[in-house]
Amino acid sequence: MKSFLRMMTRVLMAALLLSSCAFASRVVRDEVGRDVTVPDHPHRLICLAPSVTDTVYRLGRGGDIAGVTDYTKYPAEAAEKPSVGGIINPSLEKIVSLQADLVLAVADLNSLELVHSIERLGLPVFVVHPLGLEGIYRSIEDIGGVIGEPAKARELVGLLRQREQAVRQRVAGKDAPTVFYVLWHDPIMTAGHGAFITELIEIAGGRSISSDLAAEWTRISFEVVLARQPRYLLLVRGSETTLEALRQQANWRKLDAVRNARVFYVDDRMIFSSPVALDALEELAREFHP
Amino acid sequence: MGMNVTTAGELIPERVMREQRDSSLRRTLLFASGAMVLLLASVLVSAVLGAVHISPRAILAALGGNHAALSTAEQMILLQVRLPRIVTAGIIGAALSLAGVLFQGLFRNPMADPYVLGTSGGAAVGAAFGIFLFPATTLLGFSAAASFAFLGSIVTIILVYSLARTGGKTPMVPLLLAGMAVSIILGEASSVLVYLGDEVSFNARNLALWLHGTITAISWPQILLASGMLLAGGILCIPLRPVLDLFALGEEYAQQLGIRIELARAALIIVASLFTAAAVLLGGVISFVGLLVPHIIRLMVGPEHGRLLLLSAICGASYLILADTVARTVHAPSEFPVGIITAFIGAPVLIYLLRRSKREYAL
Repeated sequence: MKSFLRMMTRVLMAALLLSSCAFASRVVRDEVGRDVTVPDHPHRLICLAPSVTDTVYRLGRGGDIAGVTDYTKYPAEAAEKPSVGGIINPSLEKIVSLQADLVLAVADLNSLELVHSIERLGLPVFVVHPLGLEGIYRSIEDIGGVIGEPAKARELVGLLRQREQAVRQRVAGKDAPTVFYVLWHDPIMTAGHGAFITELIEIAGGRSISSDLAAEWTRISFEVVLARQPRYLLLVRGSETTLEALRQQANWRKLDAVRNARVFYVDDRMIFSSPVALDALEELAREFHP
Repeated sequence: MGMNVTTAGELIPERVMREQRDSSLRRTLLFASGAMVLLLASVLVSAVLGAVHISPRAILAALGGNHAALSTAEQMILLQVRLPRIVTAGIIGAALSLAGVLFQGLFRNPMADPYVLGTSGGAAVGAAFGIFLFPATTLLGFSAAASFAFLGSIVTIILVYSLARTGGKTPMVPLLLAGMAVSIILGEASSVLVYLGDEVSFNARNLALWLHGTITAISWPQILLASGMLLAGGILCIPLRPVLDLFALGEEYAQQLGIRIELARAALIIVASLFTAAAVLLGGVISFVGLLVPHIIRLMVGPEHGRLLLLSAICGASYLILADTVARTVHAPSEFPVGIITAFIGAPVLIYLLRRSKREYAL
């Protein structure tokens, strides 16, 4: 009888221990300074921005993703996941229906109002706020920490830093071509100081003629472009702003870069605050310094 | 309704008057019950449709007491996401339509809408402030954008009213023009904030969405606050109803019958502004609802204001509930700004009714 009681106690203890594991949670501070109660071992994740999806996949946890947002491209298999809608206007109903245990969001992409609405439904939301390459590294480590892959995150960041260093070494001491990044041609929109693409251009060994503009994304007067005469244009591959389109406009033909068809291309990976941005960086460096 | 007794009473026998009044009341009740059926149907349709499919049969079963018919997630979607949103849309629709009736009656102008006193401009500047400067702040559960827009719209109305006021009077034409001017200035001021900042930034896109009307998930305490405003305004409408009927005959006439014009105007402006501000607080700027619904109802039941107010409120609520259902399902799982939907559905309906209407239509 005594041994039976002892056994029962043990079984009970074990059951308690197990259940406390399954429901255990902890409080972590996210990148916008909010304390969030997250499960210790989240297994159903909703990623509210493509960059977060990419990061989670690179940490080997793509299988745990229950929902993504529209236009998720990297990695290709992520596009197969159910979507909760657009980045700014996803459906709360869809988010609830996926029965996730953790939502990952990005400040400046997902509104805080959206974050609050999700939290009111009882779902924890961890918000990252990656600024620049260093910000990407930090967010990878923070996401790794919150989903329980801190070691993998450190390893990934180490690898990415090596790749960044390799690019820096390759372009060191070379003549930096002046480039004008054309996000859109009418009205002319470009990236200024603090924009991620501006940082990538500098690291890849180029010099952006608009890096002194205050806003991240901004209009620029054509006079300024003309006065600064960039040696190259930097266009987004697949955009409707093409060299052919620019050549049809008398204004743009006044630029040497347009007349002599001196154009570099970058693809949309450079807008992601996630590991794919490093691919864009390496490609950009090869364009600038073949 | 002293008007009938003093003016027509001498010409028309009392018995005829009473019969007319009774039949008019019957008609109002008939229309009102029709409108309530429409509202109920809209709520049901809206509750069944959404980005996530929930079987109507399961919903009925759950209503009948079988709670196991719906999963926990489905219950949560229905009770905490869909239902608050339906109620919110209904409140906004009713508030905007009531504000539309009051402003159209006050100005005797068919172009008057809830934002006629510059409210939309004030709301836009307020929202821009909230979105750009205090993105992380909330007040009583409302976002900074909503709270500042609410304040902005109220401050704007006070500003416009005092701009138009001369010699103890508030003439209508200057009031309309001041409203238009202030609305334009403030609307453009919010654009200045956008262009000084970052035109393609997330904040700018968020503001653009907000200015097209976006009903977000709002929790019950906020809904309670807004419905309190709607209820208070609705009660204040009861004594204003005959005043509006007299205004329709001309202000001089109303004055002769003992209406204190300035006081009545101020009261109308305050109540209509309360409705508009409540709608702004919940859903941003949603165009066309407050303009179209009163016209549609007037074309259907005539210009008498008691009936017009009651039916506009009920039908306005159904209209926005249905429009918001389209907004959240047409491009699911993403959501559309509801203001785009209200314009696309409402304008053709108004044009159809205007063309079908045989008699000359006037306010």
